[in-house]
Amino acid sequence: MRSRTLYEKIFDAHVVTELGDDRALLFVDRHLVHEGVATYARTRLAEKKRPVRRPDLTLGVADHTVPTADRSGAIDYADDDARAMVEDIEAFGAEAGFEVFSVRDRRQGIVHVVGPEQGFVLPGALVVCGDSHTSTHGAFGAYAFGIGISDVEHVLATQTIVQRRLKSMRVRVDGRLPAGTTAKDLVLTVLSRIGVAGGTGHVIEYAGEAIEALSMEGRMTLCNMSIEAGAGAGMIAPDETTFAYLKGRRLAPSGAAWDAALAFWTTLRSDPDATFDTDIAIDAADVVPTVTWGTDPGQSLPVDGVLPDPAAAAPEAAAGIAAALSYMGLSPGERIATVPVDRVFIGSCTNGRLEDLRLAASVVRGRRVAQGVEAWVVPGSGLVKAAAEAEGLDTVFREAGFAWREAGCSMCLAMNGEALKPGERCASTSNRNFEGRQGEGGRTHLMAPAMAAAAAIAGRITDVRDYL
Amino acid sequence: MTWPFKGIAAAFPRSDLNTDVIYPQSFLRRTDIASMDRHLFHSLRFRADGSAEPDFVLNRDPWTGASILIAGRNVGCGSSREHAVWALKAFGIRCVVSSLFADIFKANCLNNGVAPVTITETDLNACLAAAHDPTRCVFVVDVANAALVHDDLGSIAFDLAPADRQRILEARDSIDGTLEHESAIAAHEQRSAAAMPWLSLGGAS
Ligand code: SF4
Repeated sequence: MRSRTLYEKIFDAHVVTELGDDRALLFVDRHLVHEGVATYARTRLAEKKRPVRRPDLTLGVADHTVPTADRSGAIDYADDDARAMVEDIEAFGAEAGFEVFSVRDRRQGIVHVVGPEQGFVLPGALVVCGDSHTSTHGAFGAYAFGIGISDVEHVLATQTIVQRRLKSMRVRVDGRLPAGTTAKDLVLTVLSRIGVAGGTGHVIEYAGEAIEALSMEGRMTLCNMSIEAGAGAGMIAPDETTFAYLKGRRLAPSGAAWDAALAFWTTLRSDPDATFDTDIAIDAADVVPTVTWGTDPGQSLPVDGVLPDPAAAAPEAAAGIAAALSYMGLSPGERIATVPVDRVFIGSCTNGRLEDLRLAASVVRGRRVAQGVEAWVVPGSGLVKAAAEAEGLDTVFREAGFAWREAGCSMCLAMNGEALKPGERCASTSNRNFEGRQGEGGRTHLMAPAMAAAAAIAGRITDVRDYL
Repeated sequence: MTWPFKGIAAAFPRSDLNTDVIYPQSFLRRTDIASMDRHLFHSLRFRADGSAEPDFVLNRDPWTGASILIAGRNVGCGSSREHAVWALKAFGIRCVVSSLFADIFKANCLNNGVAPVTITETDLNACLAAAHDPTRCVFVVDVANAALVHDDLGSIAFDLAPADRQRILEARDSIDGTLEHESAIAAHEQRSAAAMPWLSLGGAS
């Protein structure tokens, strides 16, 4: 048999029927639904009287519009539309028969944190969600990708999705990440290398010693931001780290089913002689703490770097650099590590997991948030929050002057109304620094959790290695 | 909607145009799809006081009546929000032209009958230049023949797979199309349940 990549194997195993023109109808093993898309899909399915075909393979959560201020009492939504979306997914789940972790459920959280946490996402599975960061789940050796709302409706009605075969790219990361750097620094480095269109039309498989050494949290951070390169998916072959994470999770198989699954999962990898359309090699030793300076995630710098000068750039890049600097309120030649911040946001589906909070807390412990800085920790899920509290991390953050909040997407997208004010500058562990992403006129610098924690303490962007 | 059609093309040459810019997050809670054009390019199209930004292309004649958007390379990257396409469509845009489309944005265009057509970088520059000129900004979009037709530039071949062209021309509900494969879907469900029983759920509580 022809040698195949991991992606090709999973694709082939899910073909319901070939549709010609290099397209196939693929079966969806796992469908995650959040309230930001459920509202539309529910209405439109009802109009056509179409039932949800496989509610058993569907898991709903409320995350995008839920407030993350204390929810022990009444819930203070941004507006009636936000409340309606949450009520809608609750009603949708009840009438269609799928499970929903809504705002009062202790397991509620960001869809890409909750799915893995529950063991809903498994190696070799085809996973979709009406959200571009579905690429996160490729960390488990799943083929996982984001879809639009029409396609959410299509999956709910048919449990299938039409896809073309994509090209493949392998990113090999040899060696070990240096102290003070994490998967976030690695993915920002990858993005600055290949650019925000570099993965378009491709599925990226990450491999190499540095990848194998990553925890599942780190792998999720890396795969999460594959979409920022435009990639159709990011994935990592499952291994002992993957299996150890999954074992015992509520929706993961157990007993004989676990043994059978494990026997199959251990075979799930690209054939040794499989060919990739593009091969990228990165030396982990070159990765340093990295910060974005501009308005797309590919515009980043080592923390000791200086801001680019449009006058010195290639002519076709100059206008873009100038526009990004202008939006960000920064000047060419300025050192990124001197830029003061107003807000700090630690959270999101990229970096809102327990390991991320531990790393941030290790910097914060015994220190104080700088005067004038408003710093938030928003755990990725209720279970992450509870686990962090059990270790006392909430106390560490609170004593330092951080706000310790409820789980949700919060200021990653500001769709729940929690937003930067125009001109405010934020050190953020999220995934997008687009214009207005965290609030109209807001300015976002993406970085790793420990780097954001250090920025909160220093009141400016700073090198986390000075705090370790 | 009939094809081919003749329409005014607006040029917005920014490359890596993300869907946050096309349709900002503050309006993602709205559910009235037909009126989403009001929020299209909101922070670029409107000033803080709500008045129209006179320099923005879609606020200037003749482009207030644009039905074609000629964008820079890598259009629609970032968020999967279909609102970006809904807003474009509500404004009257029926065709987006670029040299590279982000995958999810392209799928969203196809699902809404908006033609995502890919041309070469050289052709794109020529089309952008023409669209910038109010006297030269009219194009014919001929999906059946995979061509943009312009008075001076002539016929410019575009890339859109035959199956995708068909979808645009037939404007058929894709769910109806898929449900015709019901027996194949059911067969896959059975195969999968037998070969990979661990993928079945339902017993969980
Ligand atoms: S945390 Fe941010 S990127 Fe992740 S799902 Fe929520 S809004 Fe999207």
